[in-house]
Amino acid sequence: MGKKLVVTALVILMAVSLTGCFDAREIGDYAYISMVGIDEGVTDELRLTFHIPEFQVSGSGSDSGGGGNSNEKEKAEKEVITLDAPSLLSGVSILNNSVPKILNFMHMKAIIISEKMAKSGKAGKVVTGLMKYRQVRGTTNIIVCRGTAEEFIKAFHPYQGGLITDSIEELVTRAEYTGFITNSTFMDMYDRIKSATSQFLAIYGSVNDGKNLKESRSGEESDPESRESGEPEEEKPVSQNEGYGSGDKGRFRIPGDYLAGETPVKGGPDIELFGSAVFDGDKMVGTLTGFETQMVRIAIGRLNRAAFTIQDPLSPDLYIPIEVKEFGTPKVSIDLSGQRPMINMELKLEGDITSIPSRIEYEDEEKNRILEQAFEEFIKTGLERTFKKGQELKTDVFDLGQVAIKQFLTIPEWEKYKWKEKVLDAELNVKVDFIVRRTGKTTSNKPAK
Amino acid sequence: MLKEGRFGYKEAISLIVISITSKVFFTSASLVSRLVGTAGWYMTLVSAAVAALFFAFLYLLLKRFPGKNIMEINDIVLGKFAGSLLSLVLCAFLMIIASIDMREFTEVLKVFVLPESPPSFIMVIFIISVISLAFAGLETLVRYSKFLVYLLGAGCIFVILLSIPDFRVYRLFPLLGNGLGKTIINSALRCSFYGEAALVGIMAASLQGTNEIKRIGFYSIFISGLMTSLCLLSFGMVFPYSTAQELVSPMFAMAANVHLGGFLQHMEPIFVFLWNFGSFIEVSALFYSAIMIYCHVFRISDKRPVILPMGTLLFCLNLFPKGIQDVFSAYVQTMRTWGWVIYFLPPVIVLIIAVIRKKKGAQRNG
Amino acid sequence: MLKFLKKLFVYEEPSSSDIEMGYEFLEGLEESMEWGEKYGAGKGLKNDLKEQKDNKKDRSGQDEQAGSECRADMNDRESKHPKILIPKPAGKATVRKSRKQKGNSKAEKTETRDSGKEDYEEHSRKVSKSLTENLDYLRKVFHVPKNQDVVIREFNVAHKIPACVVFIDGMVETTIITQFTLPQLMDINPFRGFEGGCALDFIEKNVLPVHQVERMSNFREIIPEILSGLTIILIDGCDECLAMESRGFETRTISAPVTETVVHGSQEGFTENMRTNITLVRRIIKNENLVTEFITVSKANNGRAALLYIEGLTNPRIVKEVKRRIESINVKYISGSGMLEQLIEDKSFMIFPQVISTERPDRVASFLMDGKAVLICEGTPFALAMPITFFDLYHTSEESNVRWQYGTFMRLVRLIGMLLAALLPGMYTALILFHQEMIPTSLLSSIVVSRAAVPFPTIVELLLMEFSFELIREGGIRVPGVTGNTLGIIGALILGQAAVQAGLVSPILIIIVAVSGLGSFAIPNYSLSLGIRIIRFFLIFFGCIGGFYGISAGVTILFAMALSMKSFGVPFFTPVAPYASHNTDTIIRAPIYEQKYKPDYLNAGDENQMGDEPRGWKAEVKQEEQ
Repeated sequence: MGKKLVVTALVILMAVSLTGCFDAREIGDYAYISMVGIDEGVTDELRLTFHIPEFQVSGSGSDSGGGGNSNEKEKAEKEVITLDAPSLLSGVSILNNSVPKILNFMHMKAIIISEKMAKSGKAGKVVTGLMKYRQVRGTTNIIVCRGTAEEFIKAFHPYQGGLITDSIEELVTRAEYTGFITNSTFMDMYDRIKSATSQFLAIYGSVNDGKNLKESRSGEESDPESRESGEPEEEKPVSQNEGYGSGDKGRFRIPGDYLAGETPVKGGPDIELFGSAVFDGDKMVGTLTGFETQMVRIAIGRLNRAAFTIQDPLSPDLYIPIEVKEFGTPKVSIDLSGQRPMINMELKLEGDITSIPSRIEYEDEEKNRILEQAFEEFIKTGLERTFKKGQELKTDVFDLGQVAIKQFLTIPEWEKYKWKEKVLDAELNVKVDFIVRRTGKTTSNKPAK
Repeated sequence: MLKEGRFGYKEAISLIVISITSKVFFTSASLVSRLVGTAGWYMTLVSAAVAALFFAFLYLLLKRFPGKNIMEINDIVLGKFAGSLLSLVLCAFLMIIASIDMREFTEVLKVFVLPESPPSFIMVIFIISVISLAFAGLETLVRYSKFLVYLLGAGCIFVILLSIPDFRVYRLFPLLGNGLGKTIINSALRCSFYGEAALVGIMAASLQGTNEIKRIGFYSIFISGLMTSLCLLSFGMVFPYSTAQELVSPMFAMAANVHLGGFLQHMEPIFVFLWNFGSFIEVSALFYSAIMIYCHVFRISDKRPVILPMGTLLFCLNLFPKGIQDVFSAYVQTMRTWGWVIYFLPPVIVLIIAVIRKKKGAQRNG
Repeated sequence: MLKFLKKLFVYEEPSSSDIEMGYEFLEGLEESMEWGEKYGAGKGLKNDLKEQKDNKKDRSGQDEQAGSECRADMNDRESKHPKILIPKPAGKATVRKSRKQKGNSKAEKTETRDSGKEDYEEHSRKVSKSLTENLDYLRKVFHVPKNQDVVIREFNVAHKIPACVVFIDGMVETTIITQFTLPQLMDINPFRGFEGGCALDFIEKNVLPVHQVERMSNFREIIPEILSGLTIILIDGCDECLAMESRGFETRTISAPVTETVVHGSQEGFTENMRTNITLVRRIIKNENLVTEFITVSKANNGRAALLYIEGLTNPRIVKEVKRRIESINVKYISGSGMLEQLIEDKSFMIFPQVISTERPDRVASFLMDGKAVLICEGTPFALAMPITFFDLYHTSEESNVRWQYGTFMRLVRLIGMLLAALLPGMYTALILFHQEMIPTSLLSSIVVSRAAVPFPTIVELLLMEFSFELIREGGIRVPGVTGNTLGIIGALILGQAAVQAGLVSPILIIIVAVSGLGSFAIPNYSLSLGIRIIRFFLIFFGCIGGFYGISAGVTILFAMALSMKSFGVPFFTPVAPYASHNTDTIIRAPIYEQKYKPDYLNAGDENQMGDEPRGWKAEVKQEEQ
């Protein structure tokens, strides 16, 4: 009797435990996708592009990596897979039959959507539908790219060896310091597309093949020449201030006033992320340049530091680079009583002057004031310009809904008010206060004798 | 266990706090969001206050009969048959709640952590741990919870701290959520979230005097109210109300969204680890209380042979709901809204009857 | 196993078989002191003493007629001045049958089974007045002349009375016999005042200059004494004999303890000789209340154990329980403290030890002052202390010898080491198999690349390396000398390196296994470290079947077992799990002068260990400032 009991107990224990390991998969059994691109498919609904990096040991990248172009091209061929499928899940299951490892989104860093898909509104629906999918995390970045996602992914190589996921991570984190892109994640997209409060800005990226770096200035043509053809009009630096380059003198552009793919850069990585794509609901309605994205980030208080260059107010030929080290959160007050919402924004900035080519002594009390005022104008104009552009695109780019909602007591009231429509008539008053804190290594600037 | 030992108030408080707070990690939070929108975090404080009010009745009842637990009081006041019936109702209810909590846990685990394991596998492991804790006795259970309470509390706060970069205060507005009236009614109904405080009544024989009971009950409701409110506040600030009501488990999602640099990301398995402990303790507490009631009613002094069949019963109860939709909308919602009837009303009724019939317990030097 | 399953399915009447210390979870110091007075020292003590006295009186009345005055005298001495007791003869346990015969209802006191019942009857023979009869009997018992270790030296006392000395060669210090016994006895001068009759009394009081003698009259007491190294003097015409303390055998010199080394503390460790060990303890605790009781634990080899405790401080219920357990052991041969530990512990199934064995007298001294009871056994240089908690296994004496910051730091490091030793391989398995999303991507790529060359699945690889490591540790113990220890770690690393190069395991795994091995080296108590090593395998299994969920289930089951454990009535994780007021001494160690209270859970008498301001010089300074 005793033996029977013991044997029974052991059998039950073995039966339970040895059926286990349902979820246990060897770590090498998975193929970890690092990027997914979504395009419009030709033979089917969607064209999906997967980037599956081949892992190398980070330390001993002796043989491959850092090789010539051919090596990279071969790698690109092997790592990037494109297929047409009706949905993401089916695409994955079809692909699982040809790739010996199980495809897996656990370490996916970015979802790339082509501009055409975004503009048609389909991308919004497809991507937000991924919310249910357990493997897609809320922290995945969303990038809208000019052209097709396939090209973008093919051109995206990790910089100087290393892992591509690191590169993506780094690029997006850089946003904190330069401000030229937003840090848009999947969670953001999901929240904002569905909410009544704010709208979604995605990272805008593109392949940059270095053609923008013109060798010679073909005449004194204005800027339209130096741009690639077929760009939206907003690229022209539209600024009310004089001296801000348009027309002949205008080699000077507001720094960062480009979209991705237009920066005059040659060499280095083939892709770049610059500017943002603006969504209204599911559809992409327009783009913001890098400069405008900076303004957006200033307005919502999410910019740590940035570098600007303004025209020297006393010597309009030359330019003064100013590094702003601290952006305070703007104090926004919204007055909803009248017909149109009145928005007052106050902003405090602090910064350093990094160089003064004109050797005018801006460290001096008076001239300091002039410089500060010039910069304040610069920022103010930029903010107003960006806001107007947002209104034209029928969006609230400054996330002012988040401030307005505080004046309502219950959710039904807020949803009845329909902020998204009211904001299109709103009027924005900006006040900027800039203080020069430090002037670099030198404290005064004597003229050359 | 042959006889229950005695334990002090710190252990009892940790047991009840863990039992109550573990529930916030699962679907409750999104249900709350659905009902009251952004007002979840202070609604739960109102619930705690209502629960404390009910607990005061329970305390008065226990004070009237010092040193006895609630089954014995039922017997004394209502007579053998009616008292046993009432106790058995509570026993059945506790088993159902235990099974619902376990099922909820299994479903959430299947969604987030172990998607391919069959639920029975997860449940078998769960039941084995619950049974081993039940075998070891009530004393061991409370010691275990005392051991872990600081770790779990620190883990919870750690998650909240790590999510601070994602906090946006505007998501808490509009403040009154779906309207003040709705908020108050819902919060009053949901006081059964704190129903585990009624477990104090079942364990009263092992505590050390009615002063202790007062301390234990009110402190545990207070502390768990604070913790729950903190958790609801933090994920109210991470997810806007439109998203929060859709998520299966907002706390898991919040932990999954932690992204501080290249290293501190994808952290949620660690928190799963900690939350598992909380769930084990909670279900074990409910299960063990049910067994205590059962053994008292049928006058069984050795609990150990009863544990295994009750464990099998729990497992079978788990298999009732069809899927996560069922669990989510029907079971959990019903239990939360009406659970207080069985947790809190019987002591009130018994107290009234005891006063009417002038029954009192002998004074005993505790 | 069968018992376990019976417990699951069969209903049984409740019976309390555990000792209950009556430990109530009292948080206040005053309540605890009250409790200690009620059940601890004070009231209970007097009762126990009285019982013991009654016991002895009864037994002496039953068994021995002659020499009863002697016995009564000794009883008085014992009850008035409880110093080191003269070793009790073997088989002094109460015989249940005789109790029943007497109809004595005080059976609750010492319900012990007679351990040496057969020997009892066998050698139960009184010394006769005739010397030749006694000598014949002794020669028969000791198989003389086959057995050439026993020396029987016959001589005449005062040139007239035949007498002899019996001892075992090599176990006695011969100077005592040659210079301090035989000359005095053989000389006629000291015997001038002797009238006649039994010379023993006269000799004991007037002639023999030996420092410690005892009179015995029954061979069942005499023979073990001879075997222990005492010398017996038998005199013709007396029906008692004198047993002289003359032990002088070779023992190992006191050296540094082998298993527990410290940097900043004393470097003396126990040896195999019980007397030396007790002396080492007495040198530290020079307190008149330190009591040593000798108990025989095994009858075939007359193994003895000494039970030390501080009268008035140690809860007498502990002492009673320990004695009860030892006296009821019915084993033929006990080699030392290891076997004794296994025979008296509460639950053998538990993975943690319930009795601590230590090699250092300073630790024993601190245990005694805390209120624990200590057993020192012959044959092994380890002393057993009980009851213990988990934190006793975790602390070393080093931490009290250094300043509190360093002590705290050491303890934290040890805690991390312990957690790593138990959890790290399990968590690694869970991470690699179930939760790949948690690994940062760069680490992930390294792991994938390094595992690509390995032909085994993760779990096989891990178990392979774990077993090799355990094998190396085991083998390293056998290699003599210093190379043994170095072989352990270096060998493991070299083996690991070779395995990596051969493509059998991945380098990350070597690190994991090595770190968890190092963690287990950090655990000060040998039994605990073995326990943790076993737990590690348990957790690897759970991690493999369920990931982090499985590990949490495994930890729960483990804790369910460990927390229900009691060591002599004290729950194992006191003072954390059942809360008891304690010094800030579990993990973070407060400075010495702030550790005012004795451990509450022992319910010892005299709670306050220090006055209000233990550093008197600080109090003076304060007064001056005022």
